[in-house]
Amino acid sequence: MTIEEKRQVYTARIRKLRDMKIEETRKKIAYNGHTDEDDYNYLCPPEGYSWKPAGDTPNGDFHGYRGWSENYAAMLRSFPPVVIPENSMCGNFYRILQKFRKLRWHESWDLSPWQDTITRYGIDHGLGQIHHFCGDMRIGLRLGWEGLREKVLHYSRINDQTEEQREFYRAELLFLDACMEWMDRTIACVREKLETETDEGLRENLRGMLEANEWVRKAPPRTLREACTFISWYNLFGRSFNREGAGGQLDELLRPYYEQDIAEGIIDDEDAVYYIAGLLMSDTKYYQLGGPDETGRDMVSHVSWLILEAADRMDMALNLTIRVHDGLPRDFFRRGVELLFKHKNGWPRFSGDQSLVNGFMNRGFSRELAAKRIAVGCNWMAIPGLEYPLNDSIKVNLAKIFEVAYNEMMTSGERSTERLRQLYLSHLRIALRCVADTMDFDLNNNRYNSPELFLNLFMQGPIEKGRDASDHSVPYYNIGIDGAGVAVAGNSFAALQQRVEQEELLTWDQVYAAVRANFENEDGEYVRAVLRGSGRYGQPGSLGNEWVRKLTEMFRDEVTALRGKEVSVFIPGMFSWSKTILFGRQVGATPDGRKAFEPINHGANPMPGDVRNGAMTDMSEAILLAQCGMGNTSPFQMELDPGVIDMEDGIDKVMALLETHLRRGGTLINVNIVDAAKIRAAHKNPELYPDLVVRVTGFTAYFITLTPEFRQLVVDRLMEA
Amino acid sequence: MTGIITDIQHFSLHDGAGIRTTVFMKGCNLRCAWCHNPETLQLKPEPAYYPAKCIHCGHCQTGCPTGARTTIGREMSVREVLDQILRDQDYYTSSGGGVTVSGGEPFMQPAFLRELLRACREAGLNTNVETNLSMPWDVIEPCLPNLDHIYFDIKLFDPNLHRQWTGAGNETILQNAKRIGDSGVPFTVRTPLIPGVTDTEDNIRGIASFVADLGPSPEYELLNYNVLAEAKYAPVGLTYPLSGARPLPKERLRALCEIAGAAGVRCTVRKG
Repeated sequence: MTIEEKRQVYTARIRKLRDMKIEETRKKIAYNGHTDEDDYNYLCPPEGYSWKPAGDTPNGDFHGYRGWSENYAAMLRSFPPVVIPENSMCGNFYRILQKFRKLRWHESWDLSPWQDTITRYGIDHGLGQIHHFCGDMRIGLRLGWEGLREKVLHYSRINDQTEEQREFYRAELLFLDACMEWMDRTIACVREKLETETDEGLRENLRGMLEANEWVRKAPPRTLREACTFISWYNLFGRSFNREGAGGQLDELLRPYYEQDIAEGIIDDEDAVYYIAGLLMSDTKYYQLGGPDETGRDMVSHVSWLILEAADRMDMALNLTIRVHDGLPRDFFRRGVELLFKHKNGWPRFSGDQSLVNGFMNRGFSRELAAKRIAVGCNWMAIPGLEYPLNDSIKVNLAKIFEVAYNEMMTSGERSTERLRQLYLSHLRIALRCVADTMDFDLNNNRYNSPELFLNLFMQGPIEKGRDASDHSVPYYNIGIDGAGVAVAGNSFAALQQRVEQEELLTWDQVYAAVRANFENEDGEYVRAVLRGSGRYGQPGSLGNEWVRKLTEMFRDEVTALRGKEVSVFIPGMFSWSKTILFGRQVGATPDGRKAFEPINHGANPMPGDVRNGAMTDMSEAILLAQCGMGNTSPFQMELDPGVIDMEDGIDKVMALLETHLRRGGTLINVNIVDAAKIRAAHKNPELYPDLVVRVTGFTAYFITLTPEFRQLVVDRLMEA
Repeated sequence: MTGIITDIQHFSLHDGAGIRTTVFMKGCNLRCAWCHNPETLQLKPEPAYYPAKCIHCGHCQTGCPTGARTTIGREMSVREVLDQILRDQDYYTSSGGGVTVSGGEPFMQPAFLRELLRACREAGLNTNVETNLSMPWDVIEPCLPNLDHIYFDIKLFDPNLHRQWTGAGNETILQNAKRIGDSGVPFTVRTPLIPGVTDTEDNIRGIASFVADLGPSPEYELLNYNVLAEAKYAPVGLTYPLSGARPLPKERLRALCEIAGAAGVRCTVRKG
């Protein structure tokens, strides 16, 4: 077969897999209903599928080493094997074990010491948080699955002092045995398919699939196909266990295998693209491409290009991040932007190396360590194998903090924005103390609730010490805390300062009465209009910008000063994730003119409509004020018109916009290319657009899978572009 | 030195190379029937009313809180305008962008324009102007040393039709165009495609042939009709005379572009 013929064959297979995926998305919605989260490329369970986990507490939840490992083993046994002859990889799953849980924390835990504070301030607390850290796939690529099992056995003999250690290793072994048994059944299925498949091209693919899987089952991968097969299984195990989704520096992970295969003449680039496409289809994992290595050398290689090529041919939901720095090849950066516009699927995203590295160094870490901290999550970075940050898990609703402080000020004592600031600070401290306390409890107890049986295998420490990653066994515990709703809080401070204190257009009582009445009292609409007309976050030189800057600095200082008994490093960021609706429901009307229970702002973005003419430069300037500068992100959720690239230098303009924001201190940019007509039509009839992918927040999702309420929020945001 | 400014728009992607800031000045000497910026016609601040924004709160006299009643245009110093422009300097540097002065007709405030362009140049900014080129040459010429690119319109080639549809003949414009061609300042000629007015083959052929003689392979842009202008008329108390007009279809645009190209210009089509 010529290379061009091979290209056509592989591309046709990839398109067929894409079509199957679209159909699967439809079926999944019918089965699961709408969700407001990532699409993980798993399958709708077959008709009649009814497996349920065995619980160990009255509410039916399962816990601890035993509960998770036994149920996981049982769940995997319930999965019929999946082999699609057109795919270069095999295996897929039907359910995520973690999603069977009713409570994130252990039913027996007494939350009463914190419950009032959690409710009062709208805290997404630390209790029971899981998996928001990144395994180092290289550990597995070096050892293979069987090697990992031997490692567990080896250390189980050394760390045999306590029953808890023995239980830990029993669970890890049961986990691995279940995984490998799942591989065995899938391998058997590949053999069966091979016996019945009549198409010689597909038979050849099945033979390659069989050889790669049989090898990876017993030994470390040697070739690119085997490495992709290993990582594909890594994705399936981690995701089906507890929804784990952190990837890694994919180009560098695959490069040695690719280069060796090419040197030995085993594969060509078409084979490589086909294998990588299969890997990317196994899961919507977060992978970083490019960026400097520890010596400063950029990591873009031919493999990075092949990954983009595979993504291009797939045209599906993906989470690829290009790390932008001065050494990034311009043509690679350009290609990323071109694909963003070509498919309008929200990938790739772009992270800012300089700001992230300098930020992490500001928090007291070395440049070498900072360089290893890569984009592996929705809005977040982590050091694979070394760091337990629980990033993007713990969030404090700053709009709620504001509301509590505002109510206190209005019901007693002096009324001024300065006093309000002091009250806000005192309540923020109480909320953050609660976070630290829940983390202390969590790090001493979460292994009895939700142990990290999968990621333990790929971290430095847990297996060697016989202790879960949540139990002090990992080198770095840098717990991320995100602020959410900073625009609501900042605009509220600004509106009060401008309209009440400076201009005296409104009185404190007048505003409070209107806020309490949700602006539905006699002059409520007028008061609301006056408040909304004040200088907003997103408008250069405004009081809104100034207050967001102050509140961000306050948040940064308070989070970095926070200490727990178990955690000495907390890292601030500004991100709501997709909880803009949820957090909004916690907060009544606010003096920025926001009505009760309406959504808060998205991430670090201004409120929709507040940036004049939607100028991205003004939005950038605002979002730079909300950067905490400590290594975690305050992402820019950027919406761009597809017509931008109709201009001769459209791509250059977008590249300049992206890199200038990142160079000026931006940390992450998530981009949506908004085809307004298509989005509007899809909002009316989502079922007609099963392949429409939007970047909801840090993750991409099929538009059809979102709840109508969330679709509306996405539409409102996107239409502003 | 102060001028009357309609608006300053950041992150302009359609008014020249790179990422730009466009300064819309107030006042225009032409009265094109299709004017896309009717709020810029008067050379002074003027009231506007947007009924959709009105909440009927009765506070019109003390200051409308919603912007339903507002004033378009304000007096600004060169320094004030420059400060706003410089906010995005990093973006100009990375994109090869800069500032574009538009209108209205920028040369209606020649002294201010001259000072603003000089200040921008001193700040190292790339400068463009968008003009109808109908002002006297002695007003235009002093600005040329501080201009990197000039965008000017030739809307109608026939002087009588030009007078009929814009209120003035095109003799000065064509004369100035030749001088621009001779000046060495890079330029682009534009024709807004107004259905039934400027979109005839004769008009495009005539303009393109004229433009072709202004320099080697000059740039010529056809701006498709834009329906958004209509909504801007009522708030400033005007009636839109071309209500119901629609943008030209792609095939028609392509045909007109080919006619222009055949005349010896580099023709492109853009949204108006």
